[in-house]
Amino acid sequence: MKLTTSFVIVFSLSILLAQGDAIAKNSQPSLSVSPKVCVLSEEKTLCELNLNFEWKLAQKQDICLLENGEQVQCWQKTNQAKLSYKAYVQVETVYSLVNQQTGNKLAQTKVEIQSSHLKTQRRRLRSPWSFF
Amino acid sequence: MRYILIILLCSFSFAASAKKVKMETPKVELGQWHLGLGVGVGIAKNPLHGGDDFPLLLLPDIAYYDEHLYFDNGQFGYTFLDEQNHVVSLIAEFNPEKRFFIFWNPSNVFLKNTIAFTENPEQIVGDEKANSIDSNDVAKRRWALDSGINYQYFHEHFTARINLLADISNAHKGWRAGVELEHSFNVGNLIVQPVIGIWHKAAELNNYYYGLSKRDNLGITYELDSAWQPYAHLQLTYPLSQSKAVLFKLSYDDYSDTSNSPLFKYDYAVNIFMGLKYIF
Repeated sequence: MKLTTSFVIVFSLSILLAQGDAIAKNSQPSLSVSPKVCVLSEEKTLCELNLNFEWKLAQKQDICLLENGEQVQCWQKTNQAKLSYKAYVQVETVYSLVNQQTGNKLAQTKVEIQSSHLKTQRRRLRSPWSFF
Repeated sequence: MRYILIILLCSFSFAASAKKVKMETPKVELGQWHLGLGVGVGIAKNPLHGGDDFPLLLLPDIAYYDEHLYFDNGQFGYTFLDEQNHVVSLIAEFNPEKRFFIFWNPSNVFLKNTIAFTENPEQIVGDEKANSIDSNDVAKRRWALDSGINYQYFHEHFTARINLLADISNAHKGWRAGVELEHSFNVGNLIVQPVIGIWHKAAELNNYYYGLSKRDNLGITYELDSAWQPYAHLQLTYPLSQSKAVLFKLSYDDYSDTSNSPLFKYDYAVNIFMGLKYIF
């Protein structure tokens, strides 16, 4: 096979793959929250946050937003929405989007808590067992 | 032996194409020693003529982290930037090339030749008889202390590291720069951690360890240029409990860019270990 023919085939396949990936990305459920991190100061043990959620689905469904498994709000036959929500968060909190009928989890995000004064752990910077 | 590199590279490409799962970076408690010990069988192959292979029967894992300072498996560091995705540290570590010039005489301590490697004569570099120098016959190579900057980028699916190090002990008087990618994913309960990377090592460093000059008193001079040294490591961990696991480690360091030196018998260095790990 000539080099130019191979090049054309590889190039065409790359475009097809890239388009397939883009279509797949568009059809994936999404859930985002802002802010994602709260830093606790020395005096506080609780974060008081105004969280802004935005979610999008490919199809209309009956949907609930859960906070660590507890219901925050539900929507009927909706495929996208925005929500402002006042949250009181002490530990890492997971928010998930769940189909009301089936209970299937469609998307998930989380809010992390960082303490400015009580750092007890840090990431390891080398692979374990790296002596040899 | 190149098939080892191929296996390691395949494991990394498999990791890249596998379902994207958020990578969990191991964390350590501040102000506490982290001690682990692997007990099993393994070997660190020495690529030099006359060099001793080192039996790996015990594999330590030692780390201590403070808020900024750390010691991790032979590397000292001071982290001055520690953000969610970016970490920058000043580091110091002994140059690992010296390990090939240590003569262990392990038969007195360990059971030598517990693992038999099939040596493929085709992979012996050059004409062994006419063009080989025994590493026992050259001048002593010192441990060099290298120091410099380590940058790490923590992506949710991989960790990238860049190292820039120079000799501060006046031994080889050279420098090395490296980049590596580490990934981690699960296959059932098995944790698979492939690493691929490459070092670029200065001519001074290569000449100090693998060059031949007047200091060796052999009447032969051999000079090396700067060189690339790719590597691939694979670690498999199968947890049995919170403190015990089955551990398999395989590493391949490619020396084909420096192996024209008469000191080299093979153009690669391989370490393999399999055993039980205990975390204390």
